[in-house]
Amino acid sequence: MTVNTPPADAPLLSARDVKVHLRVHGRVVKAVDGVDIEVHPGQCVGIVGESGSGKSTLGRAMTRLLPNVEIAELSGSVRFCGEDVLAMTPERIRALRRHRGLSMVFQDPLSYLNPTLRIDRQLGEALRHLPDRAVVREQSAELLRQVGLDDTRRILRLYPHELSGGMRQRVLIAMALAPDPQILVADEPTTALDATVQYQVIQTLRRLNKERNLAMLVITHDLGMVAELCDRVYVMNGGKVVESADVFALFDAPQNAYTASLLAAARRLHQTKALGVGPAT
Amino acid sequence: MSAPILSARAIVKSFGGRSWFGGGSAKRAVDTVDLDVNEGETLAIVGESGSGKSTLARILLGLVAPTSGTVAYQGRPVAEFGAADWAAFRKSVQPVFQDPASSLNPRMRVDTTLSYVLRRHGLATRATMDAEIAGLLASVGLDAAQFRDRYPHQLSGGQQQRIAIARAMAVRPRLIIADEPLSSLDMSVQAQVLDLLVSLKASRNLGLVLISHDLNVVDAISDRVIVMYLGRIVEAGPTRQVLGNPSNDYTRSLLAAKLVADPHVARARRIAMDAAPAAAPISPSNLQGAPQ
Amino acid sequence: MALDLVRRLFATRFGGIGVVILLAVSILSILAPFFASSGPEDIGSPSMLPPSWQHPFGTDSLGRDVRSVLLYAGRSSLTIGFCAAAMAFLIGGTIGALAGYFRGPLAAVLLRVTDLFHTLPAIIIVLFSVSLLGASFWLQVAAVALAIWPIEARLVYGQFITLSEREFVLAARAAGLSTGHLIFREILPNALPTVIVQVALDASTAILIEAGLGFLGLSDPTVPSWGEMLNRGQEFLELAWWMSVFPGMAICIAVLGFNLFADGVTEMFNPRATAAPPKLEG
Repeated sequence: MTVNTPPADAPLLSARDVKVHLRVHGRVVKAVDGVDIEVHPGQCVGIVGESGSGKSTLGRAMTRLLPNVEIAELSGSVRFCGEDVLAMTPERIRALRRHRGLSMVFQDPLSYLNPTLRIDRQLGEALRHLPDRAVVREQSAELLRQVGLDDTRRILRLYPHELSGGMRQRVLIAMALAPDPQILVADEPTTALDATVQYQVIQTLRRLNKERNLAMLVITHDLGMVAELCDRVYVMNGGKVVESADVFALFDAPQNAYTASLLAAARRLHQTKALGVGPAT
Repeated sequence: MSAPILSARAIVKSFGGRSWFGGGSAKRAVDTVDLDVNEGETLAIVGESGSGKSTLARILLGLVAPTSGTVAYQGRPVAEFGAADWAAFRKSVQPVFQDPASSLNPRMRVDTTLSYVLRRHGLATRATMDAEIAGLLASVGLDAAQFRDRYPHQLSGGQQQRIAIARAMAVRPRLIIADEPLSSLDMSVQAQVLDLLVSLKASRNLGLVLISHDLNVVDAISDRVIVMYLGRIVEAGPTRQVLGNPSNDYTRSLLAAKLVADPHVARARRIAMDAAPAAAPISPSNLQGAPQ
Repeated sequence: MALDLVRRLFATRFGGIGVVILLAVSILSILAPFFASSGPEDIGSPSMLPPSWQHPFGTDSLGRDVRSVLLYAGRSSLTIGFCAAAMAFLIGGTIGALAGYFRGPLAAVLLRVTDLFHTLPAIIIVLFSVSLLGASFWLQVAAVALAIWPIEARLVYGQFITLSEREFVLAARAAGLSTGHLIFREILPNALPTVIVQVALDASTAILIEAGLGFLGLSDPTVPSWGEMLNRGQEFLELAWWMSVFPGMAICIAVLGFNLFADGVTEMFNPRATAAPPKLEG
């Protein structure tokens, strides 16, 4: 395993030797088996892996959102601003999610939005901590604008099913931004979207990362997204991190055989002849 | 050039539009589409959600009847087909679907699934069945001894898709219509399955209609491209031309939105776009309130 | 494959218990002559005796040993349960499958017929048929089946609608496989888990309907059944509680057996349907 030495300042979110072993159908599955991750303030870190690599499980363990499966072992330390996330009380976690803590964005926006509430109500819930209704309305509109949805008055009055997929995902990101988080954890945030919308959402995320200095942890199988968005990349396979590097270093000179094979596969798919763009094979 | 294997003229497919209480207008999933597929060529159909590409695929496969328009196989309209014609058609045109898990019967073993198809078209007898199945599995890169008695849930996504391809190849078709065959697969597996399709195509002069949203793949293997938007064809032509020098805004926006697994390219493109900001890419998903 | 299914059934929370109950009840009833101390017709004992060593469940107003009658009566109640459910499945399943597979005007007609039978309360249908045609045993079975088939039809219809759009069915169509193959080899096996659950529940409903009929005195008087025992026992409720309680318990246990079996099959094929709700953590 190759790891470049991390910078001297303390990380915002870190995982040390995290293990998540699950019990499925009587057998123990080592979904995450000793993983170290670091995200520094303002950094955009990507975790890349295929299905079964454990990346989603890691993301959920780090945000205390593991699904309702039997856990055989959950060990290691996850620290946010120095505090141990895994040992936090539920109240402390909730407080973190409400203000200046961690926010999470998932893959399928339709499942994560309440279908019976209008967007303004749902954003309002995320902005509960603000003093009065007028401020909430203003802030909701502002959040929508930040994710590139300018027609705020109309959108706030709509129900989730009346929005297109791309708009829903952006609303979800807006809701994740409401508590003014220090870090956004996104698990396959654009996989279910069309190509053009995917590109726009990725650019939105990038803008938020650079302009608001919002740290991000992006979990995805898509190397294209990682190339567009991330500063640093961790590659996961079989529950372990097999390589981690600066994004340019990783793509130019992968040190690990698995990483190299992933890149080769991506390039095989992206062999372009007419366009003249794309990596030299 | 010989006549096309498959051709479609003025295909329209609309849904809804009950006239009972005067409510609801019909929605056209496919809106007046013409196309031809020639022997041995790879035609790509590109579009996003709501473009009608999957509906069109099912119409071309003869699984869904169009509201109006004709599909012709070897010059003869399928609407005039008798049982024998359909049998011949089914031997010639086969599908591969997007989600390999749902394209295999969860309660059927691999060899059972393949044997029904082989038996139906008289391609194997009881005596030759095992050998035929072994041959099919080998042709898609799977070891018969290991995989013949497995159920779909015991297979990985890539293996399931290979079985689906084996089933399609069982009847020795002339044309395969593949609807997003790679989208549900992991990236490393996508490359393998793509390679498999390419080699099968080459070895048997197979025609391929590839529906895909991934322009990189389209560029890598197709001869001609059709771009669909909201049920209509907005651009069509040789791949080099359509992707290298698009004449339609929508095609241009698709190309602009393409992700490439190379951070240098990504950065270069960002710099170029900051210098000359383009209009927001057009997309069906972007137009909330557009006729859906 | 079958052995594996049985194993999985026993691995569920209650499925195994349900199967055991059904097996026990069935065996006891089928082998009634071996377990009963006297025939169902024997009225030799003194009547209205409370439970004792000689008559564990007491005797009824006619002097029959309640335990023995219970076992023999189990035969008819269970037969009605299984047979009515099977008939309902055959009628309703066929109608639902045809409507769901072929759609169009045929489906419209079949669905309206289904709705018609569905809106009539089961008891009314049964009472109507029984009063019209008499209370012979098999007529009763048919009447109960008539009352419950619409539920089966709706269920199978829904399954066929969904499954016929699934890609493996489309692929089979594209391969030129026959309609019969599509219905019986592709769609039906995948509809079975849901259907089996409904059939089990139908069986328990059938037993309850039969009990109701018997209780109202409308069942075939020549065939002992649990409902009929309840009928007999109701006027002696204060004097001889055992005449009502034991048949009542038997009905409960049989119904419980079917329901637990249904739960078990549901859990087998859809484990999350019966899982505990997720523990919300912070």
